[in-house]
Amino acid sequence: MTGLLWAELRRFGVRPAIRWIAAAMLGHVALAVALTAFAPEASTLAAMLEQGQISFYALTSVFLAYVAGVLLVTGDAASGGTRALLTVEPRRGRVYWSKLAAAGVAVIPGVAAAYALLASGMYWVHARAHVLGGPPSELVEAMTWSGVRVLALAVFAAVGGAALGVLVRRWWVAVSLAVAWFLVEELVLNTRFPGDWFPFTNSDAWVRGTRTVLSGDGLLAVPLVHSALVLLGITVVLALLGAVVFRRRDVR
Amino acid sequence: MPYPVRVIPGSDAAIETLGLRKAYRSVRGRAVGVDGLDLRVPVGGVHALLGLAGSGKTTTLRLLTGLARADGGAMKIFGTHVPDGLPDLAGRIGAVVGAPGFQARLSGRRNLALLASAAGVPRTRVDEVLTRVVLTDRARAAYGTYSVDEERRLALAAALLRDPDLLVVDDPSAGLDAVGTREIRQALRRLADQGKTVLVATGVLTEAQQIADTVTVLDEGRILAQGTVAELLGDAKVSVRVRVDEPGKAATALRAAGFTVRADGDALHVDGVVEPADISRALAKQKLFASELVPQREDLAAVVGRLRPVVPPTPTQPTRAEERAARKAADHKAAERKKAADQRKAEKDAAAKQAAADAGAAEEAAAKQAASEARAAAKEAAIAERAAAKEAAIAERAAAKEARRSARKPAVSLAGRSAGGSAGSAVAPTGERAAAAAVSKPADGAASRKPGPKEAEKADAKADPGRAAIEDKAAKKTNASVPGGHQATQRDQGQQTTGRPGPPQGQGNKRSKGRR
Repeated sequence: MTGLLWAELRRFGVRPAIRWIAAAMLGHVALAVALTAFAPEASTLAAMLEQGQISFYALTSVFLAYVAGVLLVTGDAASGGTRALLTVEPRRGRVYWSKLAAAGVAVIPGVAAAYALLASGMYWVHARAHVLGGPPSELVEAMTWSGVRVLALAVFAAVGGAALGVLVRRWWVAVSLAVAWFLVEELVLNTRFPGDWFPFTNSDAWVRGTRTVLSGDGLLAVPLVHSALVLLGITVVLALLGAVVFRRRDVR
Repeated sequence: MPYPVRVIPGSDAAIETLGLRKAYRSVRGRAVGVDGLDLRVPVGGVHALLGLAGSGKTTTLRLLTGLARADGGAMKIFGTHVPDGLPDLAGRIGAVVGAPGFQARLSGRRNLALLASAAGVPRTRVDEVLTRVVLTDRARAAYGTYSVDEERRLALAAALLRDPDLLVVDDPSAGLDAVGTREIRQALRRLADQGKTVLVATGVLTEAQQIADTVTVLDEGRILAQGTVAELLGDAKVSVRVRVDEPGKAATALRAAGFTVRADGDALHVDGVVEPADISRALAKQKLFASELVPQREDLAAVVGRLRPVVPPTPTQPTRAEERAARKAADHKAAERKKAADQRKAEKDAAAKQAAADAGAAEEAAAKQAASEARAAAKEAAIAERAAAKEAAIAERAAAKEARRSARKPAVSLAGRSAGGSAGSAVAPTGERAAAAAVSKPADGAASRKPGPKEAEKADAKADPGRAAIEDKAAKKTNASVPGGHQATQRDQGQQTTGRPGPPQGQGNKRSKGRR
């Protein structure tokens, strides 16, 4: 299994599309930090963390991790690699789970680097302008935990993306589905139903570290574990569906 | 069991399938990959799956290696049911099916190392297989820079990583040049000689003939024949196309020499020839020399065509819609036929009417012509009669005048000499002869000849020239209406001219000739 994982990671790493995705992650956060640097006094770092601006920037990296997971299992190179692996390792289950594991592991360095750049840049910009808005140690701790949650979410996203890629086989279908669901959830579903079970709402709450919902008693914070369970459940369901399909489907 | 599996009894075959079925479904419909395949590959040696494109070769290999799942049937490799037992066979099967899927940016060695790590094979094995496929020199070059030949060799090396007992190779010489083709065939043959079982899918007949021991010929997903290569394909027999000046004689000579000959236009095809020189020899014995002698090997399509069973068409019950369509087509055809018959009849009637009209016009023209000729003949006859009458009258008057003159002369001499009546009687005949001579003007010698029957007739005619002219005209007319009559008339005219060349007759003849 380790050998399979290593082989998949090596194949994943040499694909040009993956390198472009990593560059996009870093470029996006660098741009966000640069834009903040022009007017650092507009908002303190503590306020940005509380209002979810940092999590918004981080979620872009999570989406790119999802795309990377999709690309790991779709396209000619991926199907050729799968065929080659299956001729030396005919156990399909092992091959499938190694792919999903590789997708989850492969996005960690890129997302971690991107979040580190984002957090350190924001801190530096606000510290330089003396607008941190709170004790530095608490801010660093909050940003560190936020980073850990972003990494976990990115792993879920990559694994879910790989599973969806196995299901639909085409990268553009999987990416379009994610974008379409985001738009529907933000523009339609969130205005009519409470977003307790929607993936993007829970992703945002997970990265932000808290979530406020309107209830009969006023604004209430939703515990993190709820969002974690929803996101984990969605990922597991996708992964299991993918496993069933991969075991039965012909390899092109 | 993930799908219905029929149990195959234990055997010593390397690969055995029973009723294997696989169909591909898409929006365009259903395509049969393999249909009831009962394959048997013996242990050791090279076995070729031979068939045209779309015959199910690659599908069979994909099913055997677990890349595709069968719709039905059973498969066994080395006695283990697949695909469920494939994990147990992981180290015993190596396969090159489809594009190898190597990473272009990694070196060939690195690609193999990745596969080796995935398969749990030690790294040292990578260098061994690279040496085995003669790719050590290029092992550190990026896979993207490899030629097709090198790509195929690297794929073969990947399949050999686990030192398999069964090697499955799809289209081994695809895209290779002559040297690469020879090398890969030799490599496969060497593996078989080492005791491995090699299963090759190919669409190249010569490849199967060169490297395979046994062969299975596939067509449209079914097995046409299984057996040894020598049995099914032959190994050296060729068909020879021969061109000679006398193909018939050459065919007879070749058949007498024991060849199977079939004519193809002005050329002959001699089948099952072991040595083409034998044909030259057989022809030369009959003093026949070939202008063309081309050996032609049997191609795969010919083999498949030869082995394909002739299936008699099975009558099927037509549906109602088909029956309606058939009835409609038959009605339409009958109407077309009737229309064509009517048209032909109308054309025939028109042609008959036209012919009748032409015949009537011709008859009318002939009648007109005959009437005009009759009128002209009557006119001529009348003219001739008048001329004859005139001439007769002139002759009569001249004769009378002559008679009177001659009668007057004797009277004068009698009066002068006082002679008796005998003198008068002697003068009278002389005067009659002169009158007759004046009328007929006989030709020289005519009087000395003895007159024949015709001449007697002519003499009668001489007596009545008008009647002779009319008769002459009538004879001419008769001759004109009778074929060959014209010549007869001329002949008669010649006789008349020579026999009776009197002036009235001569004038009449001249006129008729001129008119004609």
